[in-house]
Amino acid sequence: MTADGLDTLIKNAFPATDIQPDQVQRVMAGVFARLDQPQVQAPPGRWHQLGQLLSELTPSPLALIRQTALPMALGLALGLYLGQMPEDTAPQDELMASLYAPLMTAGY
Amino acid sequence: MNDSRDDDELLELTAAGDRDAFQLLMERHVKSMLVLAQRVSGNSDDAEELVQDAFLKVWTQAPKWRRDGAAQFSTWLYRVVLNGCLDRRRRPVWTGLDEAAELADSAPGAAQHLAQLQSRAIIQEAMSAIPERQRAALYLHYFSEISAPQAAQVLDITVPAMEALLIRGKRALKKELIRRGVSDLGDMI
Repeated sequence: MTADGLDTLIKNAFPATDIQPDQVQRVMAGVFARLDQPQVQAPPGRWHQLGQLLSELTPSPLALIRQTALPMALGLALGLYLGQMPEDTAPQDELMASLYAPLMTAGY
Repeated sequence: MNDSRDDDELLELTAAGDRDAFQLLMERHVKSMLVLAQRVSGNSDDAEELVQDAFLKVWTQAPKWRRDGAAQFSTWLYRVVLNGCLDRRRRPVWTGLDEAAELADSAPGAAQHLAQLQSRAIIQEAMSAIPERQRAALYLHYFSEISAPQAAQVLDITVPAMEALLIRGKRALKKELIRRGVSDLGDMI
């Protein structure tokens, strides 16, 4: 079978399709009928698009919580841990004393 | 009715919810889409559903259409319909042989029509056996009304690449037809 033979074969098996006006009308009516069904949403207008853009730029509350929850929990745990430790002021007093002593002797 | 507005303008209006613009856009393209879908799918019901699906996609995607984009609207629409046809052809829904069996043999020209339906069924079966990309090229080449450069754009390839794909597709199709016992034209029509 030659390349031309294949072309002729297909041309004969699939002759030119004549689309009738009623078929065109049926398709368009079908599209509009499906548009009016609730699951097909109308294309959003410009204000809606702007609102959508702004909402995409603003992080959602859930994302904010996800981003901040871990550092906040760690900070809280650290604070609780340090809060539970016994307060020991003695070394600090000694430190202060040693810091101030030379100043006093120098007459300041 | 003639309208001087181009497809991009109509798409912008469609994006804003203008149904008249959308209808005009459909009127411009529905016929050529039906030609492709009907010849590929083999029946008008499937073709109508495919084209409806494509236009619903136009309605929902219209706000995302970029006027300065490289592709023409018709090219994009052909791509949507072609992909719909290829998806549908993955399912065995083509009923050419069933129709042929039901055809009344007493009608004038019935034998010829029967032979034509059988030929279509064999060709479609052979086409289903070749790689999808080659099949897509053949569908556009044989079943659509577009030029070779536009067909290349639909497949997102260069014109020489489209020509190469067509050559490979025709070769593969011939091989599949021969495998099904078709050696020359006399075997079928």
